Amino acid sequence: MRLLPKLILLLLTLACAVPSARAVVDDAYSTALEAAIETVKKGFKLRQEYWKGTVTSGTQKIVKHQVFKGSDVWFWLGTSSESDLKLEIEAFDAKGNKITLEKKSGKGWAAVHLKPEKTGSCVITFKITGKDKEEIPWALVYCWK
Amino acid sequence: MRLSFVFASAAFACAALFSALPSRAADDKEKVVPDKGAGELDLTQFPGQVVEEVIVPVPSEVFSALDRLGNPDWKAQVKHGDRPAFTDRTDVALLLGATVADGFIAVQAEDKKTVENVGRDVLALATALGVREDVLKHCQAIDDAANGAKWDTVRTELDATQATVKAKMDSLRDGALAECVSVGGWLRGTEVITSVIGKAFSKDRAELLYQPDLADYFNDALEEMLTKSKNPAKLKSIADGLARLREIMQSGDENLTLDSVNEMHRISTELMKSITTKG
Repeated sequence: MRLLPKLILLLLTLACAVPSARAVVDDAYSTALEAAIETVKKGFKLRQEYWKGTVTSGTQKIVKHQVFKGSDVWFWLGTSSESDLKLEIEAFDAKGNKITLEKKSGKGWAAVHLKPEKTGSCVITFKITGKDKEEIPWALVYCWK
Repeated sequence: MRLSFVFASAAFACAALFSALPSRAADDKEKVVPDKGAGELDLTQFPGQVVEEVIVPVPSEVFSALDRLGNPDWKAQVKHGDRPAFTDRTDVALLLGATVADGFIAVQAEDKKTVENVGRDVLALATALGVREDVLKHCQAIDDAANGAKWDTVRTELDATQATVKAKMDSLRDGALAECVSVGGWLRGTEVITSVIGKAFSKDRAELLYQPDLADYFNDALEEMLTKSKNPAKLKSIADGLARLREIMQSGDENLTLDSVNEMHRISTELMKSITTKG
């Protein structure tokens, strides 16, 4: 029976932790969205679907995405803006050539702009650096026109 | 994960590793992948983690690219017949994706009546999937925006409808069904785009069909679903069709011929028939 209080404590901890984890990812999404507003005001269309997850501090994530020749695309990476984090982002074409046209960054976000010269997959690489081995929530949205 | 993607991932990971982090303008492009020849890449230098989730472009993205290369007759592409009453959730999800794509085509053609019909059908299909309450607000917004000819709003709400359904499916641990929504939409988009390009062919236009990674991704998703499906024959024929589309896309080294485009149109039309009819 001594296990019961421990079990209850564990369940309570889990119950609190799950919404909290979701909340930080949502914070990351909100940050990315807020940053992306400036392109939406310029006539870009914001995709409703987005990538999200967590990344270990200092390690790199790779997102692959289909783009079309002649399009104008911005990818906005957001994270929880409470901590002091370093965000790095780049764009490459299917052959590994860097196609980053322009980059922007602010507190808790970084963005990369590209105008693909060819239709096909592009790759967005990003890295977020905070405390050692910290698991950092992130979200990546994109706008196009 | 396919080996080709592992190679590609390695390429980009290496590229990122070797690239300077400060921003560089596009005219300062550099070849950053340590290409060992014949596309062989050094997998030992792969430090990144690939995000498996794929976000499928909405039809409007490629429609806009087509618009820049001419002035397609979108009105001729509007086709939205009666929706059959499917009971299998896989069939409903495929049809929902195709119906949302019809909405994007109707927006392109600025066809209010079809957009309204699409909104109504989306709601019926969402009801069949048990997500009526989740998409109701989007369908109402589609209707209102179509009445006011606010086409950008209609596009946004169609995208939101699809995103909402997929998110709900994912939350119900039914991610495979969510992929069916994407497959239905992508195939309907491909049917229309190949029709437009086939009628006024140019190399630049045909290049917009070069989407082998998406065809590959859908093919893998459907193959995975075959064992659980109530109607594996239908899914198998769609998966085979997707594999054939991918072969055609890659047959010309990014340069699709008119014959290839017409063949893609024939395949996607046949697949759409199986998605939008009972039988």
